[in-house]
Amino acid sequence: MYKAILYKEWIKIRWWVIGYLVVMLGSLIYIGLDVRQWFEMNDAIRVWLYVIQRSVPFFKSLKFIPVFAGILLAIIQFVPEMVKKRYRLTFHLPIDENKSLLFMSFVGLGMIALFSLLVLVSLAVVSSIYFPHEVSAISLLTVAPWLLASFVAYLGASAITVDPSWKYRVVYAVLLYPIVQSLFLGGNLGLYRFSLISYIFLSLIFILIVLFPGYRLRKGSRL
Amino acid sequence: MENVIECVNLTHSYGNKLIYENLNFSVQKGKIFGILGKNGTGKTTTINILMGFLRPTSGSCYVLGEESHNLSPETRRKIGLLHEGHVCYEFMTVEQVERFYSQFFPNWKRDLYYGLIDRLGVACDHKISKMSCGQRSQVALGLIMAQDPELMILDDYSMGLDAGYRMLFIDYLIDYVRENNKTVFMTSHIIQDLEQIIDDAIIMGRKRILLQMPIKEFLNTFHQYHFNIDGQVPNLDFDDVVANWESLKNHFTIYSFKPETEVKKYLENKGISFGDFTETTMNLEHAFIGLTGKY
Repeated sequence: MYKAILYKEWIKIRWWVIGYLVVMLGSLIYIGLDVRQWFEMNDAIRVWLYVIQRSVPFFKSLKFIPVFAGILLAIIQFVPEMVKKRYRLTFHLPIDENKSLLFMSFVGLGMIALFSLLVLVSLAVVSSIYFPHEVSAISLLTVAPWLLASFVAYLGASAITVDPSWKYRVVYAVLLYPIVQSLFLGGNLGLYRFSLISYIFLSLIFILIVLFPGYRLRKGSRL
Repeated sequence: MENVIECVNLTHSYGNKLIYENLNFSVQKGKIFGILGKNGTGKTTTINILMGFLRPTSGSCYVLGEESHNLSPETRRKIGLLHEGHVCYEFMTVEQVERFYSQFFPNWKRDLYYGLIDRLGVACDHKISKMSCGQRSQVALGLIMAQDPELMILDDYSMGLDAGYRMLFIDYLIDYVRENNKTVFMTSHIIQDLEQIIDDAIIMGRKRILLQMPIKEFLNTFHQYHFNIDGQVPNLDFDDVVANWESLKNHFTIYSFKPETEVKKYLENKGISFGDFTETTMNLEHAFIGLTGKY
């Protein structure tokens, strides 16, 4: 039965997967070419000073792609489930509706996790070509909050899409937007290296958020 | 005989708007039960309560022995539900939606699904969202029939269907029920179709139940009488003789559960002078309109 739900989710998200893959690979290739050009146009010491001493990330083009991809994924997954009250189809399936909703949410989170891994591995490879491993490590710590923001944005957008009440949509936005926003403060390398773990734990609180609008829908709540 | 559905003192309101109160009915296994009524009388509300999508204001409902707002997945597997508007996963194709649903039902009848779908003349990779309303309805009905459920709940099954497909579906439905002792609970606005298939019915009015009895008994005991009036047209109250009435100039029509002699005596007692008293045989649609009124 979970295989069937996975099949349904794949039908909805496959174009998102292809699109995100194209955009992400394109960004990473652009970053690689851009950094190579830096080294061609300037001497290596100047580039290293720019990146290491001035702490400027060479992968800024990646910054907002994951968060928008997360929001888009939530919309693509859950809007088709909500129009014309189609959530009743899901709730009438012979499977516990909470497990069904959570599984759908975990499919989305799993996709985001896969792409986050792709970003981290690709960035590690690109940065290791031009920079020492210390710069690679701090680069991964810099991009990690942006990737975490995509998880949180996905969870928030899912809850907002599933809940029929504008009152509760505002509540989810008020709860989650500050977390997303705070993950983009400042642009220096490694800014979140000491606080990242706290943000991860904070984000985990909301991992089951989609169950709340699901519960209210099951009860027949409109407001 | 085993009751597949039981509703006890069901009352529901949307805010301050009362839909109905103290609705009591049960549906026996192997029967086809119809809920009839005008728009807004609570037919879909009842189905939503039965399927647990709404909590009633008061009262209780049981489906296959379980409380309706807490149906287990195993029980839901036994219920084929046609949602209002023939909702289905429109982002899927004909083939994809069959592949999806078949994994939930061990008794899935693939041949039955494609037997109904092939009549549409569409390819298997045709997206449901690109179909007409009637075609989408046929896909939704095909999915339900293929599930081979013990209980089928159909909310306005006839929506969007042409006359030919409606007749075909009725044939499948009758065969499904009679051959396998299944149960159907349905609503429809095409009353003349229901006459051939439903065993028992509830007719709902505004905020109350107008009738609850087997269809054959309703048609045998509910009469339409015509007569002409001499003098001023009376304004009759609804009581145990007059279920409903209409008038056009001096032509009067009374709908009643009473026999002709009682109705004539009633009119005489009221001092109403009448002539050309006749009775007209009604089909279910006429009887329904007679009971509920044209407006």
